[in-house]
Amino acid sequence: MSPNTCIVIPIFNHKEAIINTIKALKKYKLFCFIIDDGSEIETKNTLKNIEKNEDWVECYHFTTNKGKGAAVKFGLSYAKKKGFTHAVQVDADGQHDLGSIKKMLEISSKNQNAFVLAQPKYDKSVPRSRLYARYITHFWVGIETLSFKVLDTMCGLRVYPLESITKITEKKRLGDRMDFDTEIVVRSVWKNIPVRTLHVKVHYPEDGISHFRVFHDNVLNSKMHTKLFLGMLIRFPLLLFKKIFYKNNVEPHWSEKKERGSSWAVKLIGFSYKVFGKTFCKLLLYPVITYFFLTGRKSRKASKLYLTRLYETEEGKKIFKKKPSAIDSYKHFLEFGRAIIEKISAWIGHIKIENTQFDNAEEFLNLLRTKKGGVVIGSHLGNLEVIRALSEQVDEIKMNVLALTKHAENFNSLLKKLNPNVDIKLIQISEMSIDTAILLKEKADNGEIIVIAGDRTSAVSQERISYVNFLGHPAPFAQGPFILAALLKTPVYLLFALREGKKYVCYFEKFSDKIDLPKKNKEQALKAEIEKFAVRLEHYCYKAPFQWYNFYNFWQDEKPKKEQNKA
Amino acid sequence: MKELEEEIKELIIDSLDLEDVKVEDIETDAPLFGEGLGLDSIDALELGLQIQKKYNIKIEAKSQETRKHFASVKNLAAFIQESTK
Repeated sequence: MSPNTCIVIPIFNHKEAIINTIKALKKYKLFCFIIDDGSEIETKNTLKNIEKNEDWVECYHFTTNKGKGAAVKFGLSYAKKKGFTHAVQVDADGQHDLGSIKKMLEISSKNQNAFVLAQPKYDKSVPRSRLYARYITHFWVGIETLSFKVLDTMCGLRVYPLESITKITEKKRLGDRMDFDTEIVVRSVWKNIPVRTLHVKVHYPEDGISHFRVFHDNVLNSKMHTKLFLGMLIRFPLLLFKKIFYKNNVEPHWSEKKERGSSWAVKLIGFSYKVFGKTFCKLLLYPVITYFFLTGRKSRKASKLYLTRLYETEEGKKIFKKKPSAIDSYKHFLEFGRAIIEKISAWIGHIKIENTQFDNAEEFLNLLRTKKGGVVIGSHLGNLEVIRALSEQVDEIKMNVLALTKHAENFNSLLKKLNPNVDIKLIQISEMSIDTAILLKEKADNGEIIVIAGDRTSAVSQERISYVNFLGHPAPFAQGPFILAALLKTPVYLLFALREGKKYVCYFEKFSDKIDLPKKNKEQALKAEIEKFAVRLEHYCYKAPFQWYNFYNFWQDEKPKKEQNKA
Repeated sequence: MKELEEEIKELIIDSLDLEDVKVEDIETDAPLFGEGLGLDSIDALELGLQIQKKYNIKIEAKSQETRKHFASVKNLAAFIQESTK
């Protein structure tokens, strides 16, 4: 069945912009409801004129100003009553690129249950204060839905599936003002309504009036978020359940790669840390990690595989007296939870230099001071964030961390918010194109440090992998970090920060003065470098066996076997 | 211009070790990255540095323009010619 879609426009005193908006919308040949939220007489007259000339437009007037949320809610219910199945919400003020409605309608008609959200890409006209408000909102929404996949919830361009959405808007007491836009998204995710996204251009017109009142609406936003956060705590087990079993519920647009890992836990605990402190977080950790342990079958299996392979090595036998059991895996999981809390401590600057022991600190600090530049290869063994504590010793540390997630930008702003003195930039590799590449070279030449994990394979270049032995079995390692180091012609170091007792011990060692990759035997040369790295990684695994934070089949050798069995 | 384009193609093949690719396999208009020739981010870095070195030109980091310049051999040739004038 093809959807019966209409347009809903909430309006409050945008008498100029609405004329152009209506002009631009005409080509879609959709019926349009304009909900006038108690505008002044001039706007009312403009609307009456439009209604007279355009037979596809119907206006409804509130006598008093009730708020954008109230207008949209009314419009959605009204549209449903008139027999429409879907409604496109368009703001009256002409900020949105209305050309993208066509695309949104296509997505909506292919996924008729879905709530289609425009994701704004701002041009330079956006006021800073608005951007800041958006970052705060992203952070909150990430916590409330335990996901960062709903990227931007404040954009008023979206397609609602009316049947399921009006069930929410008519039953729940949702915000009547700007807070509505966000709240409805969060509640939709809770109700398991699939969300689809599409990037659109947003322009803030120079003479445009925005009704977003910086102070007042931010207060309202905070109020709404507190309400939603409490709602999240109540729904927590259920959300977690959904998270595990309906992974694809919030599907990013096809062009965006899925985020890896279980970062919801990071966000939840991060927030709690800030608000309730470290002790509370540690208490929160037990139920969260236990739940995660019980429901995360894949991660549990991965933990078991890692521990078993560690045990099967000669060194490993000295560490484990008997074959690792489920209790060891649970311990492994708890260690992961602890690491999350400590990561946050480190970001905020709570891990002090006194709590860290750094044997080779001089060499590391020299690397920073002399500004020769360098590539530091880290890993997901231990907790690299604690090197933050060292920044107290050097006035100006510039570090660039290459991250695999597409949320590097969000993350940067989150870091800045937690601690404004941090100057660690996360650069997202998956988007690394020619300009980022040149930027890296410039940074290296400027003497900045580039930190990259050596134990994760990139989702973008799956071909650049070498299989080398790790804990007795061949495992895929990314060639990227080593090629990068070779191209940048900088010295290469390894860095591991492992917790030993109550202290963090940082191991910093020189890996190579310069990695040379001769043209002829490039592959072999690379493999040799990676083998050397794997040996060092193993070495540190023996030192801190439970601080291995790769909870997936690291060797990636299970699937083929299964397929073979089937065949 | 044609000469420069051929030269760039050779440089691409040479610096990226594309052994089984010949100059005539690379289409002047086809996208270099992603689809088309299918180069990835590491190739981008390598190629960028080579071009910088060989033609002694400055490539702007973090600019959308740069992406455009490196979109195809044709764009690249135009960019080099413009920059070395």
